[in-house]
Amino acid sequence: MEEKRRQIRKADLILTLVILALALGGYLYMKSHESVGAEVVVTVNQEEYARLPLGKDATLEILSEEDGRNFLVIKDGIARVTEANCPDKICVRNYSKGIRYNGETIVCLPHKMVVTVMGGENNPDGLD
Amino acid sequence: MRKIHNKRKGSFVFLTAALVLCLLAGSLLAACGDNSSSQNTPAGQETSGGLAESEQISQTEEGTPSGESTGISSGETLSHESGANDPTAPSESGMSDERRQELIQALAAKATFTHYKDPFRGTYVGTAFSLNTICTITFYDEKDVALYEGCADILNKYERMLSRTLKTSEIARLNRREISEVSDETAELIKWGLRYCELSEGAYDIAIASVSSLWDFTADVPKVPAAKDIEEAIKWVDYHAVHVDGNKVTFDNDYVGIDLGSIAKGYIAEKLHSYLVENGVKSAIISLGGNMIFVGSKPDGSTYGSGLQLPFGSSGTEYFAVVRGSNMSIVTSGVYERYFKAPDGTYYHHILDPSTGYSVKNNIYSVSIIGPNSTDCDALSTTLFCLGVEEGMKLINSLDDYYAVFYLENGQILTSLGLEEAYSYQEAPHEHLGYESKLR
Repeated sequence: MEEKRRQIRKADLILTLVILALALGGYLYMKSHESVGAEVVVTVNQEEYARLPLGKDATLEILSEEDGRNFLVIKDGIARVTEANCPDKICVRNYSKGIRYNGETIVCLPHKMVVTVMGGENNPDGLD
Repeated sequence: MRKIHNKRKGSFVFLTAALVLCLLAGSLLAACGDNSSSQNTPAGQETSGGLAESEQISQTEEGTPSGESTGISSGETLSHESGANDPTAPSESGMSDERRQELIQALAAKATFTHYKDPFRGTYVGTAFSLNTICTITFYDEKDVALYEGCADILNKYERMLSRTLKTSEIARLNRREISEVSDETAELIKWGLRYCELSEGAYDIAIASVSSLWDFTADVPKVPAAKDIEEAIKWVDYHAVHVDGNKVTFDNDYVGIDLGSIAKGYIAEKLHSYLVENGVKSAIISLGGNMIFVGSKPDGSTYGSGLQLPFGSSGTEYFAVVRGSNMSIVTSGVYERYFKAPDGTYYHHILDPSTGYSVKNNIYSVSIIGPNSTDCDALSTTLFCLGVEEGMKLINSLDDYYAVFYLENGQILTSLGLEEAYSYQEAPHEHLGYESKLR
């Protein structure tokens, strides 16, 4: 009887571990599946300049003609231009919330620079 | 009994091992997703448009996300030489200003679309730089992608005709009195603009080039033009001095000039619209710097949904209301699109008052027009802004099929009669922001 109880407890333990492992494995798989494909694509003059994952914090200085500079920051799944040496700095101040959903863009016209989110989540509001 | 126990034990160990492996695989995948290398290629040092490598140019773009483009013409103005367009960059390369301007002109009106497929929405998104802004055309059917080239041709054609900033455009040459006959479309558009001048009794005036050429909202340090310059220029702002007879355009004096910046994008958007429909396009979205046309209905027959930009909110992503419709155009004129703060703390925005020569001073942050034709929407957005809320509402309520949304300085939102029914207008939760709202 003692042996049986010990074995049952052991079986329970293993079963619990198995379920936990399943849950954890599933969660990690889902998480990795979500960030794969969410990219920040930078084009200058309509040519691809850089491509970074949205899911990883990073910074990038984007160089364009005539010593143009835009400073891109990706943090917590949001991309922003935090500094620029264009005359009007619309790319910095008019996109205060940054971009994070598929298709959203930040444009710096003087530098012909465009930052686009490709992939990842669509905006939940579902506007066209 | 012992044999069975061993079997169960064995299978449990196997299961655990298998799932530990799954765990490892999952975390490996997660790690891989984060570690994809970023390509950081330096910007290409290409020269295009026949530039010699030794010549450097500084190109000032006048980009407006939507609505107005007031700024300067790179050609001479009529009343006087405005200092606003002197390229401030020193000509280290030894190039004369004239040559620099020539090169800028040579590069203009050569837009092409680059496009990609958005697999998540099933759409094809093409963008081009044209009309001093960013133009986007979105298709739902792969066969329509072949039309991007024709669309670029249309953009280039009309930029060459109607642009204020292109020295060789019909409008620029007309204003310099080099020509008095223009093409059908230019004549049509001038007449279209004049109709709104009349409707608004001059509150909206397309004969404002003498004033708009004084202002440069895209300069490194935008300045308020000298009062005496404005005083002189404002004398010549009068649409009554413009006469269109067929393709002939004549003026009552040598100084009045036409600025189609407040109506051209809508007109060009409609030209694109016609081109797409002629070529069998059933669903598409045209955006010329935010001047929107939603073509047909979506492939599944449903209406398009569009947000109305929240003034001073994050461009393209923050909105204060949603409208839905098919075959609709939406054009917004807003102060937040182009403005600067003068040293004395006053804000100057790009929607100029034809009666004062300065920014329109009223309590409006933006006017959005929704209706079937984009030329009308474009003209109406500026017209209503200039008229103000009371007169503006009167005018829009008298027009069938066109609706307006006023977003006021104090956060109040006013809609014209019938909008809710016509376009399922619904306000959306939003912050109220202003000139002084800090970056968030």
